[in-house]
Amino acid sequence: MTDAIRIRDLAWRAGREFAIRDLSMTVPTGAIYGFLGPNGSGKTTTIRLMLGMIPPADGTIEVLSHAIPRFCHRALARIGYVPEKLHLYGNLTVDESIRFHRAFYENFDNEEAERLRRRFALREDQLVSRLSKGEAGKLMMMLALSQRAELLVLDEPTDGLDPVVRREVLSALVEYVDSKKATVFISSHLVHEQERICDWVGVMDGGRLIAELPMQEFRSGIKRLRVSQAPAARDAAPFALLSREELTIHDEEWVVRGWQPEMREWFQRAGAEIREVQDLDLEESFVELLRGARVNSQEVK
Amino acid sequence: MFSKVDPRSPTPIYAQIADRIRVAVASGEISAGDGLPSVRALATRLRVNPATVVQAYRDLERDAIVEMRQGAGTFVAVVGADLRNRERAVAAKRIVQQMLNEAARLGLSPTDLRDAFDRELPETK
Amino acid sequence: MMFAQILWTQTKWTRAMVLGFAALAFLMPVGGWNLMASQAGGTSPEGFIMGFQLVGPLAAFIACLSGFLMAAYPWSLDHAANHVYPLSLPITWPSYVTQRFVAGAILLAIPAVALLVGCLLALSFIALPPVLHAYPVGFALRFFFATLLAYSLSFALQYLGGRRAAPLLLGALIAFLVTGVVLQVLGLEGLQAAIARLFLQWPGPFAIFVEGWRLVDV
Repeated sequence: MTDAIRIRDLAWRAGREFAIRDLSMTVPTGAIYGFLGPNGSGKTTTIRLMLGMIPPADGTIEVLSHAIPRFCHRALARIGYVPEKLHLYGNLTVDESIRFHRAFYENFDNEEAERLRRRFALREDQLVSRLSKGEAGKLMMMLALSQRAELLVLDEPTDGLDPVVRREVLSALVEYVDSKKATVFISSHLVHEQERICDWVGVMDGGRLIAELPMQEFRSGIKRLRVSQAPAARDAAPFALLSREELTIHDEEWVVRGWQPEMREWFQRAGAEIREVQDLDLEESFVELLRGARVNSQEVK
Repeated sequence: MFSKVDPRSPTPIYAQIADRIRVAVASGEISAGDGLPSVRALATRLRVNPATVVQAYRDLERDAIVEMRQGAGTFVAVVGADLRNRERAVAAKRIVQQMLNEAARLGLSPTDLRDAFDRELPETK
Repeated sequence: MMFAQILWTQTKWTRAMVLGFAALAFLMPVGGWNLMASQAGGTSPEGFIMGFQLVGPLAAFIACLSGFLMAAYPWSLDHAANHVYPLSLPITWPSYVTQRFVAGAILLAIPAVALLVGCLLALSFIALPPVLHAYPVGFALRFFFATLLAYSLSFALQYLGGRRAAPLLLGALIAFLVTGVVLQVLGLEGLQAAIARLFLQWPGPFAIFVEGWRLVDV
């Protein structure tokens, strides 16, 4: 099965500096792909490039087997998009918005739209410009889900929403994923939310994708070690050292990536001892990964 | 029964769900023949990836604690007393291991722990 | 159908504007005649022509304004949201722009029809001498074409110039006026007249706004 999204060597710049460079990303069909990255790392721009809204400076983009931006309108017919900020026409009512939207999508499910509208408690005659942030978020999600799209691209879909609305939106999303087996691409800085739902993770920093792997591997691969008599040489290590800190006279704390239990031997051979191996949650893993990436790039300089 | 899962915990989400069911079966909270929520219903309620729920149910099926019947759903299997006791032992061991890890991190000795345990235990009779 | 929805949103956005201009276009012939009624003394042909002389320039003015606004207003609404919505729809950009254009053009027929009815109404109150003829249909058609021209130019400016379109237009207008004044001050009326002729006389681009706006003529 071909991938839902394939990006190779993407580059883009605003002005002289390249804001995005050498970005390669693969989103497998049927995956729920979590796109993580600090603010300003280029996530929203990457999404806009992916959907053909802005032209790239270099690289290839293929979404649902269509070349972007050349055939982006063909791909967009099968993509449900929820942007960060409300993009719908403000002077239409909820009902008029639904009518407008469905004229553009062949597979639009009217019954589903009505069901979701009731569930999200959106009044038909309410003007879009008068909707609260939560209601606007629900409306955008509702339209995207009613399209019965194969690919959902969501940019911070629950940011700024109160907990009740956030749960409603996430529940609807999970339900959709189970019924349609769609591919979902979620960009969000709400790491713990991503952790519940996503089975793939792509981490962006400074305009580059610095990690892309299954969620379980990402979480289980990054560990915090408490090491006694820590060895000095670390270049020959079978794992990637993200950070290293002195705790006491004897002990150091190492954060490593790509950890396997067999690697204890490496420490033993170096005359060191591992006192503890700690799991990190996604947020900590993410922070340590970024820290390691930035330190390494500084050293290379 | 299913209130929430903790994505921050080192235990994978599917294991958290499976463990909760194991404990419920072991304690008799749910019995043989009882139906578990559908994958979609549970995933929607917990707001987790449906594949995670499937993984939990498959895990339990492998250990003969539940049966997944095509088209009908997932049901608690007939679980003998042996299996139930084993599950209780596993659950108890997990609690004790957590306690020991935490104590070690805080620098408490086994004697400190045992004293505290003896002090607390009569009160919870 | 996609176009039906685009036409519907265009209608909803501009209906106040369209109705306003239609009302204006409808009342203007009668109003213009009444304003000049004193000069339309007697039944001389010159009198009648004088009586309707306001109607032409007023129609030209309404044509310009309605064309410009019909292009500028919907665009500014789309622009406020960075055109993200239409860009995310499964429609090519040229197709979307074309459909928006056609929708606006269709709506601009309404004031033209209102003008026609207004002209017929004004003409129904008077009896023209045999040497004069009325050209209400031709007049309304001229109005419609002038509106479309103003609309097309503004539309092109908006979609090609973007945010800078309105200031550019204003700047061009000011430059034009300033040039006129400077030329006059320098005593170069001849040059000024020549430039004006270039633009405003047939086959200059803006000729339609200036020449031939005669509801009644020989």
